[in-house]
Amino acid sequence: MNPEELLYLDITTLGRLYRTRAVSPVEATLAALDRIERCQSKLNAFITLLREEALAQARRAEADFLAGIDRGLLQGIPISLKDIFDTAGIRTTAGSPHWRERIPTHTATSAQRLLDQGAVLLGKCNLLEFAYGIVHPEFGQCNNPWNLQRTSGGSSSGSSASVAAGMGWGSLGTDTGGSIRIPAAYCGVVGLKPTYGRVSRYGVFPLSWSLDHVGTLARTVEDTAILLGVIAGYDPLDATSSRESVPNYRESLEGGIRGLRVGVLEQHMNHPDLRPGVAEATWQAVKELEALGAVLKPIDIPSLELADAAMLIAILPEATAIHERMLREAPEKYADMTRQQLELGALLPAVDYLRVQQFRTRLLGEFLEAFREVDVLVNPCVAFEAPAEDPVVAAGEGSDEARRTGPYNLTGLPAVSVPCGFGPAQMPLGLQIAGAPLAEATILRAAYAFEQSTGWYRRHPAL
Amino acid sequence: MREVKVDAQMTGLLARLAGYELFPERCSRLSPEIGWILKEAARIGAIDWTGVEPANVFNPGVWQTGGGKNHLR
Repeated sequence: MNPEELLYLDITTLGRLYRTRAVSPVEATLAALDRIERCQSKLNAFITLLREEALAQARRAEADFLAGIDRGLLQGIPISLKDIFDTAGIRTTAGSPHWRERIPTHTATSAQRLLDQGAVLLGKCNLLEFAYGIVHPEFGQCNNPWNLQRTSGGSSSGSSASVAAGMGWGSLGTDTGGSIRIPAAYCGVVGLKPTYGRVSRYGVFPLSWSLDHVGTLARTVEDTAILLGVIAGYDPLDATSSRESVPNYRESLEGGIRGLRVGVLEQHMNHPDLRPGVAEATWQAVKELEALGAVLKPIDIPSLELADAAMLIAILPEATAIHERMLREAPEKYADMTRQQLELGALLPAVDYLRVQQFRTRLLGEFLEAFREVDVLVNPCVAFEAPAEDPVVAAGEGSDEARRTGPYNLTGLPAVSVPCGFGPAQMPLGLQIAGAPLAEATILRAAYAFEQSTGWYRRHPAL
Repeated sequence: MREVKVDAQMTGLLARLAGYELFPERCSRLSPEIGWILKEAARIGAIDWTGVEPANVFNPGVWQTGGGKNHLR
C-alpha cells in the first residue's frame, strides 16, 4: 500500500489492518509524521509536533495488539488536537504569545479519553488566537490544503487542514460560533459541533462559557461517529456536561433516511449573502437527500434575523471577562484585532447582554417548535468558499461567515458540516445538518447517507 | 426604540467606565463597531418581552442533568 492510500484510509479500515497485522501503528504514525514534516512549511497546520512521543505511543499500541490487549477502535490511530486543549507536560499555546511556553499540568478530559483508548497524539494544531477571530502573526495563518493562497478557516484551522491533508485520522476542535464547522466546510472534511454539554470542556480554555462546544474533525461521518462515541459523556470535572447516556453513534449510521423529515431553512438558503455557486451546490445536496427518500419541508425561524447581533452581544463580553486579566496586564501581546474585539466586549451594557440571553431562550423555543415538524434542518454551512484570510469577527464579512453556524451555538443544538461539492473557485463547500437536542445520531445518519451517496469524501487535495 | 449615537469620545468614556484607558486613535477605531453593535442590541431590546418567557436567561440545562464540580486552575 502506498503512503497516500494508507493516509486516507478511514479509522475502521486502518483498525482492521492493525488487527490483521497488515499494517502496524508505527507505520501509520511514521507515514503521518512524514506527511506533516513535508507539508508543514506549506500549510502551517501544526504548532507543536510530537514525533518521539507519537512513535512511543504507537509502539505501545503495537505491543498491546501483539499481547492481545485491545482498548478500542482508536488504539494506535494517530490524531491531533487544536492547541487550546490542555495536554499535561506538553506545550499548549492557544496560538498566542501570552502562552508561548505554557505547559499545563492536566490533560483535557476529551483528549484524555482518546488517549485512554490508545490513540496516538501527533501534535498540537494551529488555530486563531485563543480561538477568537484572528491569527496572531507570531504563529501565522494555516493555509488551505486545496489552495495555499486561501485560509483553512478558523478557529480550528490546523485541525481541519491536517485532517484534509492526510495528517492524521481525526482531530478535536472547539466551536463557539462555527469554529469547527466553518473550517470543515472550507477544507472538505466533516466537522461536528455536538449538543451543548454533550462533550466535556474541562481542560479547554474557554472563549465563551455559554457558546463553547468541543467537537470533532474527521474525513468521514463514520470516523466522526467513532470519535464522538469516545469523547462524549458526563464528566464530573465539567459542571455543564450532560449525564444523558451516550448511544452507539456508529451503529446508528446505517438504515438510510427514507421518510426522514428534512427542514430547509429558507432564510439561509435564499439569503442575499450567498456567493455564486454556493446556493446551487446546496440545493443540489438537498435534492440528493430527497432522492434518498427524505421528505422536504420549508422552515422559517421568525427570530433568526436577529441571531447575528445576538451572537456578538453574547460572545464579546464573555470573552472579555475571560481575558480580563491578560487584557489589562499585557494587551500588547494580543494580535491587534483580537485585542480590539476584547476591548469591544468591555463596552457593552449588561442589560443588552441579559436581553440576549432572553432572546436565546426565544430562539431555542422557535427551533424546538420546528423540530416538532422536522427531524433535521439543512442549509449551506457558509455563504462562500474559503477566502484568502479569516474575516474579522465583529464586521460585515465576519457576520456573513458565521450567520448559518452561530444560531446552533446560541441554542446549543447539534450541527454537522459534511462536504457537498465544490464552488466556482474549486474550493470545497459544506452542507450543514442540524438537529434537536442530543440528536447527534439523527444528524449523523443523515450526513452518512448523503456522504455515501455522493462520494465527495473520496476527493483529496493534491499536496 | 432607543437612539444610539457613539463617537470616539463616548467610546473613550465607556472604556473608562469599564476601567480601560484607550488612546483616542483606538477609540476612533472602536466607535463605529460599538455603534453598530449597540444599534443591533436596541433592535433586540425593542422586541416585546413583557411576560413572554418564564425563564429570563438562556438555559440549555433543560436537556441536561449534569451537576459535577467545576475545577478552576
